Amino acid sequence: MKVLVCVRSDLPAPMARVDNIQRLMEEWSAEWAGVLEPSCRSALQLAKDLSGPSGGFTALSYGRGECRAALEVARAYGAVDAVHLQSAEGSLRHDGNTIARALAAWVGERSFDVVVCGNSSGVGPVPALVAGHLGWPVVTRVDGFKKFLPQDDSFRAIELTQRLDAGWKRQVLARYPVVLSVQSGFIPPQYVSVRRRKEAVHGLASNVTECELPVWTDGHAPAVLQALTPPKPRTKRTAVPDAKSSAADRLKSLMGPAATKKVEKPKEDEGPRVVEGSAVELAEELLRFLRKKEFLSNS
Amino acid sequence: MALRIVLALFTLVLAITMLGLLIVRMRPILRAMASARQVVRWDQPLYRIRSTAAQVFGHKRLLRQRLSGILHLFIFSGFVVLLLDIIETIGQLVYPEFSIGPVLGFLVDCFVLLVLAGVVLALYQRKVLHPKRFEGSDEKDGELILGMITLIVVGIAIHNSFFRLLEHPVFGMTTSADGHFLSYLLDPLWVRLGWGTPMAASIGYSVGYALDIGTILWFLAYLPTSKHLHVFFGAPAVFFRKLGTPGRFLPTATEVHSSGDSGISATRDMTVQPIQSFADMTWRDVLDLFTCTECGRCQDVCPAHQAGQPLSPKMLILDLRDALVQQTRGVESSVVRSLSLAGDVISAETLWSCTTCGACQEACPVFIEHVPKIVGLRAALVERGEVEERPQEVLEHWGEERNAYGKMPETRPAWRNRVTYHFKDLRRESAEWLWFVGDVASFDNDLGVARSVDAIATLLGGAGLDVGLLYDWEGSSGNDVLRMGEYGLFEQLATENMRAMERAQFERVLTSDPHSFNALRNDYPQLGFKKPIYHYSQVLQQLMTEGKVAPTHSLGIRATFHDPCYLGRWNQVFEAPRDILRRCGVDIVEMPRSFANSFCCGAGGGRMWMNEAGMKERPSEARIREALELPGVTHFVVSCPKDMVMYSAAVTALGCQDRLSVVDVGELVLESTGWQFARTSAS
Repeated sequence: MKVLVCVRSDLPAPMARVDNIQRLMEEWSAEWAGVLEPSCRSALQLAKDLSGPSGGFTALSYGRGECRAALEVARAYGAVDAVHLQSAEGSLRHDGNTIARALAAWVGERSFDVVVCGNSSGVGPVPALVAGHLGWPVVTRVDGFKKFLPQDDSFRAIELTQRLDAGWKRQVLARYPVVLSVQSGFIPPQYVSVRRRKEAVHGLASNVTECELPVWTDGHAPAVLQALTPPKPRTKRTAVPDAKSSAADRLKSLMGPAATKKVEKPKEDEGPRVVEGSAVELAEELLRFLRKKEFLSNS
Repeated sequence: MALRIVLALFTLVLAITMLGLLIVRMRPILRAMASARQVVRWDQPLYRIRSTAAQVFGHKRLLRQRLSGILHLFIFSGFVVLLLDIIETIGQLVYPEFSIGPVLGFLVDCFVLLVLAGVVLALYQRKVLHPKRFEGSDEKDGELILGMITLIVVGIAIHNSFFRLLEHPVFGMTTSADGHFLSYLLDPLWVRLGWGTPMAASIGYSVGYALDIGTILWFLAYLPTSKHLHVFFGAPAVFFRKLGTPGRFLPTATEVHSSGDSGISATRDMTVQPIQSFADMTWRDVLDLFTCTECGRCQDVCPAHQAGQPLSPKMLILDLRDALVQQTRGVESSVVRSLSLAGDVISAETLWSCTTCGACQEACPVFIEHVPKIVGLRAALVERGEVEERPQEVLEHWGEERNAYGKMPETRPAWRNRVTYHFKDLRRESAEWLWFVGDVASFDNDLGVARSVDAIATLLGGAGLDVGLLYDWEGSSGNDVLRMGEYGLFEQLATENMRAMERAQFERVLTSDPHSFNALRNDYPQLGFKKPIYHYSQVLQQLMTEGKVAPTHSLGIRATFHDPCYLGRWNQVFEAPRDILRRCGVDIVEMPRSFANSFCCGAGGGRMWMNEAGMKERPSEARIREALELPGVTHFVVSCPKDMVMYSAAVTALGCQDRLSVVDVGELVLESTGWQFARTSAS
């Protein structure tokens, strides 16, 4: 089975601030070393599982230099070929249809059985559009695959599990070729060690295939970014501890004062603090705090 | 004459057969060692000889467990002395008048009795006391060996006693006193039973001889298939153990042969090698597998095992040994070769259960090195990507944000806002001391951790120590990363920290976290870092000695001190925190498991970031229960931020906050000085 996985890069977490995101979206700057977008990690894992221990798969990414990070991780996951698609005019940016057409044009010239795409929201349009342009079926929110049916020339298919809303799961039979999309966390990805990553970096220089895409000239210009508005900052409150934390942490969180902690970055003068003093001093401090938070009137 | 010829022929045939069998059985083991990776352990030869003598002949470690140590000492010393008997018995076949003399003869009989006493005690221990540490051991093998030992010493007594009845009638000797006092007791018995005739005595002598010499030869041939291979390998295992600070994980340059691999230095190659197969083990690792005595001391002290997790250091060694034996046998080799050691032979759950506390190594009488094997096997899992979701997330945080908490690096010094003391910014100015704060002390929101960091900061500031911080240049020390088997990430973190420390101007380093202390003190020097490293308890002790931190009043409390694994066992720092506490007027009551035998909190080796599925009782809770048993103890003193987190949670979980307070050494020192917490928030 020939498997292609489409991966893309994202900002590394320490840089994921509004200003950086804004610059990334507006300028598509190539100066940052990106990291693999989380849903693409699940996509890589699915591609690896589909290919089996002896098989290899092809990884494809698009954009500028920062997408190298995605290809590095893909190589570390076992991708035998790495393909970098780029457009002279940088049109592979904001228009899902343009991206899908570019991918479909490239895929259509080759003979892949399965194309796997990461899809962080689960409802992103690119996988469906790629399938539409190719005329292939698409299966979204893939949670796993159960078994391969006997492969012969007349009927080559795969049985897939989809995770639907409210805990529903669905098994579907999809004939090759097919486009699959997977969300972050649906397929638990394997860890990629720094050593494997370094080996992949060494191997990538000679193994990446650069593909320049033609400018689309069918008379319909792609969507162009006009403005970008960052989200309003808001305070998140966690009523229950993180389910993934250890029992000790959960217990502490439930029994301790950290049950409702602010996630937003604390300002220097409003950080957690401990006040010591006499009972009168403590009572005054408490009143001051309650007034400041407007639980009590200032009168 | 005929009797001697028959016995000599019997001995010759049996010796050739059994020694041949011994060679056949030993060859694959020795071949496995020869084909394993090389590691050099010849440094400090005189010290090695001295300490090996102390461990082998003095039973230094074995005697920590009194009954087991004494009974083993009886049997072991008996065997050493009984070599004289072999010389005498074989010598008498050639020349009947040969004797080791009355004094040595007396000694031999004394040790016959001691060995028998040892066997009785061993059976009492196995059958009556039946300690839990024997669970999983091959007890039949142990009993068979005890049976053999009994046969040997009984054989000695029998053939020596019948020899006296044969001296005159058969060997034509004049009767002489030979010191074998047991013969004087047994001879009358044989005569009374009617076995005093030359024929009966000859038969009796032959039976005794066969029991003695025959069983010894059988024993030799049996050893390679038994746990008693430690008879051969125990002393070499002690001699070739790792010397120096126990906490050093990376090998020194002298320990490593040049590997010749392309572009990778020998030192790195030795460390980075994940144990995918036996070919990745060093000869020392293979030696360990065959030296294990199955005594179960390691299992007995293992916090993971006591918590009900699947790890038993003993079973891990035995499972590896069994797999290697299967592989060397050839018949099943193809099957065994297809299995990977990490994941198949030893399950991933077992490997991830380890806290790398080192209690197993500390307890092992033959110095088996369990932790490096576990870390090597973990490294194999890491390279295959088989890491659980939660630790995987933490590893990624370490890789991306350089801390386990996934916080932005620039928020690392946020704790500094709580205290008034101004710490220098080593990114821009120089200072005498660098305070390497560590992940947990910097980021954890545990109130106890905050209290302890604040107390240390106040004490350092109050003492006028010239201290600076690396601010966001500091990253995780990587101690846990290395012990989780992610060497590449450790190297990355260590390189970045070392680069930052090279750019900063300071003389020495103090750490608040024993894990960082261990990495900086023992592992970073192997990568080229050369600065003196201190734990804050050592710094406080020095400041108190110099009078810069002076307790003004005695605290008058009764407390117990918990030795952190990476401060105590791995770095041998036991006295500094205790000395500080005593100076503050703390009455220290030691827990049964203290100093080098301390019991892990359960957070080491990356366990702090892993799930606790299948755990019956957390090690931290078991430890708190241990402290609660101590009369009058109201404070549980720690000197590690991870301990603070774990034990605070354990005290809460057990609901004993009113009986036991978890406090840091620094907090008590601060309290005894009468200095106030210097907090910005109070203003």
